[in-house]
Amino acid sequence: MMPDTMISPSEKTLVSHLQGGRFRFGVNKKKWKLLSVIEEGRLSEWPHCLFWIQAGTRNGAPDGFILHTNFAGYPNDPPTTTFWCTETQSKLPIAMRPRGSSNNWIFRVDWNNGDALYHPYDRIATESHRDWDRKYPGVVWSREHTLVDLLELIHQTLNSNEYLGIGLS
Amino acid sequence: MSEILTIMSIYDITDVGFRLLLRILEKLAMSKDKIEFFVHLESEAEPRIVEAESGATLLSALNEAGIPVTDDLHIFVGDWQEGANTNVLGDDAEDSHEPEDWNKRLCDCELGHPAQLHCVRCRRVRVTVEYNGKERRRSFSPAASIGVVTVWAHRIFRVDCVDAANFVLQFCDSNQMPSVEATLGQLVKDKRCVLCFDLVPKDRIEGIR
Repeated sequence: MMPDTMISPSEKTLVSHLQGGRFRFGVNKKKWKLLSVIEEGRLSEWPHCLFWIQAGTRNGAPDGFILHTNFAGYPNDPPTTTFWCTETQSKLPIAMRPRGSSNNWIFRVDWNNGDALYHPYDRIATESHRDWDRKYPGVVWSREHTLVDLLELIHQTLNSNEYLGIGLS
Repeated sequence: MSEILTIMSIYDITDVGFRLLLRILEKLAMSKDKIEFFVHLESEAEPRIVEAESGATLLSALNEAGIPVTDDLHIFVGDWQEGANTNVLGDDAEDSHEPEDWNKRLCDCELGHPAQLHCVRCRRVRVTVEYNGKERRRSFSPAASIGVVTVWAHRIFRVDCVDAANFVLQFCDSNQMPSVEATLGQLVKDKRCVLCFDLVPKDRIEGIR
């Protein structure tokens, strides 16, 4: 049962973005899907949200992954994201996570136990890398960004030559 | 089947006539079906989601959705990938995408997947891309996406496919990068219908471990 509390501006904004054209366009293109439920304008698991995101074909790897994203403070603050297993309702084991060929892989498992993305679009990563604003001004999160910018980043990475499949490197 | 042949012979309907009749009936049935499509507008980052009867005209569907259609507007349908696939790479090259007649019915248009319209004042968008001190140009359809322009830029500057993923478009005199799904029609600022990008290396995020 939904708690009978006022909806926060963050949740209201996120729901409007989930129902908006850019997000729905990506759903139509089968790039991603919303797995969480929206009922009467509220997200069932706010501030958390689950998505499925499509990945390029690789031997032995699934055709997509589940993302678990925390949107507290959205859109002023970036969300924070990790990979998820819906069967165990917990973080996806490292061995089943996407692995990449570059030293700048945003799904690093050797930093913070893989609990967040290694990118300025992640709140936890940004909080521990205060110099990123200055070093990477083109990818700093601002309130003009939306969850679609995050999903596009992840989708492009999982469909790039850098993505090698799953398992430990 | 034999009943159909009997009816055809009674009413002297030829096979061609029968097929035409079937097509007309099919179109009439379809014209009441609703279709959902996206409408990309100038200077709007979010496409609008519109539902209309498939037999509605482009003009009536947009009017019903409260989207203003002025005399200087062009309506393009579908996405347009010519720039990414063309072998015509000169600076005077131009996409061949033409705007639709406003009175054409939705069901007679190739709306694409996802189904989409583009309502813009520009018939073409003149794009300049700068890389390594050189400039190249092409006139794209407003329905072309940044993804298409990016592929064209990789080809025209001969960025090989291994490196291509590491080079992205950035607005000239800015550090802002447009979304790959954004269309040129959404990005133009005015009726000059021009856009300028730099092809730059993607940020490689490094930091403490």
